[in-house]
Amino acid sequence: MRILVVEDYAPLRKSLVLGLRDAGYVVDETGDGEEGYWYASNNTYDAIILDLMLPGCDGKEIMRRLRHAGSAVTILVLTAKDTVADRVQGLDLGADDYLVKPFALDELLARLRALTRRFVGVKNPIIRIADLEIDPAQRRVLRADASIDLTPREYALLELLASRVGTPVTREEIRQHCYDFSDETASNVIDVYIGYLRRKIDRPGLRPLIHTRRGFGYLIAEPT
Amino acid sequence: MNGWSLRSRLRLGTFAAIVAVMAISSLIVYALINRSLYHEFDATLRTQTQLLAHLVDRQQDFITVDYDAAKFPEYASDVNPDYFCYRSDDDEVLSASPSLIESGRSLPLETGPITAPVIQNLILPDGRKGRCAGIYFKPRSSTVFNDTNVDSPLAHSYPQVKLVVARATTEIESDLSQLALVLLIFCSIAIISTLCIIEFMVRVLLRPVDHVATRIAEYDIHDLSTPWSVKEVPRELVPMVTRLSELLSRLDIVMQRERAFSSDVAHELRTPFAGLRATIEATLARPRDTPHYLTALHECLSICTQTEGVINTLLILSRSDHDHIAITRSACDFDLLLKECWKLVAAEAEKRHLHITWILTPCVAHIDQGLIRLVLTNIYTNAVTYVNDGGTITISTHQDQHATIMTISNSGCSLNPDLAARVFDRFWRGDQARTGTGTHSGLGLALCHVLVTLHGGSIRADIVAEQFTLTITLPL
Repeated sequence: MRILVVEDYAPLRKSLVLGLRDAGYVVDETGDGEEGYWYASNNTYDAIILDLMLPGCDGKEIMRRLRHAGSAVTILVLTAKDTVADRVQGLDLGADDYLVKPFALDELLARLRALTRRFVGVKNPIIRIADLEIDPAQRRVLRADASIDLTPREYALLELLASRVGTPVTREEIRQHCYDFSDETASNVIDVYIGYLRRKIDRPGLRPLIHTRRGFGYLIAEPT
Repeated sequence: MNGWSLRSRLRLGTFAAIVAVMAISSLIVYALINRSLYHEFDATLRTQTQLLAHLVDRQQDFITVDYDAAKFPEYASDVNPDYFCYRSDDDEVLSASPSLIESGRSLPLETGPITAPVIQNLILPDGRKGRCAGIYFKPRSSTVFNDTNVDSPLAHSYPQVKLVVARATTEIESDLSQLALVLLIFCSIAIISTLCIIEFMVRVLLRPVDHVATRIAEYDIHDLSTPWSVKEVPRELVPMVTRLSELLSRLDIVMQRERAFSSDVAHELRTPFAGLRATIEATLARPRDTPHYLTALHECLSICTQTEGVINTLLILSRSDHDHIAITRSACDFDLLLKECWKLVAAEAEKRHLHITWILTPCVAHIDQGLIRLVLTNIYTNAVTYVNDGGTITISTHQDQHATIMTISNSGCSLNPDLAARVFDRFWRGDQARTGTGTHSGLGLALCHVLVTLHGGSIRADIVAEQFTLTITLPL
């Protein structure tokens, strides 16, 4: 999943990015408000972690512009302002969640998972597709009760497909959600990683869950 | 009377005034009536005296008194009689009223001419209070023709008669006692009625004061900005309400600033702590290599150092608010101090290819070097941070007979000139959204302002044609 971090305090931003990448997220980062708005309006993100006090354009203005433009991106606001009035204002401006500094990284990651689950309409924290079980909190994948080791990229790909069960995900969407600006994505790289994923998920003897839709993309679904 | 309520003062004051007025009025009335009654009594007494004087007849050297008890029964009455007594020149009793004779007592001897009798109070022979009039006169002779002129030259050889007439004043006393009683009762009723009216009026008329007090009590401590209309306030209370309203507005501004300051302090301290925590948690989340740990530790140290700077600045500002900073002045070469402090930012200035111009006049200033170093560090950091890349910074000093003046000017200022005075506000930054957290917390120039002011000096900011200039004046 692709996350945008907009936080001007460099030590915090760097640590957030490190923690999110460790958790398997693809992360873009910036310390400037205007740049953050540009990123958000020109790319597709699964969530934006947004500080309110930013140079150039503050977080509230970014939210206002995004929501006015019709963006439904999940926004988790990160700020030191903790009064009720500040929280109410932030939530009313379009934030999906509000986290007060300082915070525990684990809590941030848990809230992010909850927000993205909410966004795709999934209540159960464990994703189950046939005999495939994905636990985003533990980053654990089981098929037929057997644990499967995935690289971070493979896991990100699987998580994206699992969040859209039964719906084809295009290459472009995969590129948007699983690769950040620093990654160079040749057109067949995605096909290669889908191949890796299939080998691990759809082992011989198991019914295939990952399917190709020519001209559309890939999807994961229960075998019919 | 200190601490007495307005109502109590009003009641007491009005009551005292009413009582005083009633008392004085009653006394005046009593005195006037008293005087009138006694005036009338005296007139009657004089008339009686003159009447009795006409009863005296002189025949040669003999004086006869033609008193007829039937005509003047009051002098012979057994009950409350009047008294008279005729005496000769040598105070020999010539005649007296039966009442006097019966009592065996005498009347006073003081007399005056018939036109101005001596009137005095006395105790009558029967013990009653009374009043007497005494005259002396030369009686006329009824048998000698033409001997009607007692003032003729021959009159001096005529015998003189003294007459004292006395009457009781019990009636007057009784009337006056009744008058006093009536006045007392009237005054009492009037005072009690007035007290009741005063009580009612005080309650009604001081109701606006109660309204003002209620209005003050209803003020929300968290929102003092609500304006107070003076339309329903009595004219006498308008100045007080107006001043109170102004005071509350100023208090609201101060409280808003304090809330904003507290919020800013919380923000400026929370963000570095969030950075510290996130750095440590991210580092510990999984095994890392040594360089990573070292980098993380250095980052944590940097955050701690920056936060320490913010806290120290806040402490100095807090101490200055409570006058807890002592200035220790010593003479120092000010121009050398400026050069020395520049070394802290020289590397950054070089990195940004800045052009530095020094226009220094050697001068000695009597300053607290530690505090002024803080000032210089902050203004240098400010200049180097906000100047444009490749821009210019000009530092100059000169001294006149009163003060040492230093200016520092940097190019590339994008602030509105109207905001120049705001740069000394705590936590104020040109870009309000920027997170300070340490070197650019918005406290540096606020600190400079406080420290320069402690020296008895001044600091001013000017923005002209994208040049930001600080002028510091330190008195000699």
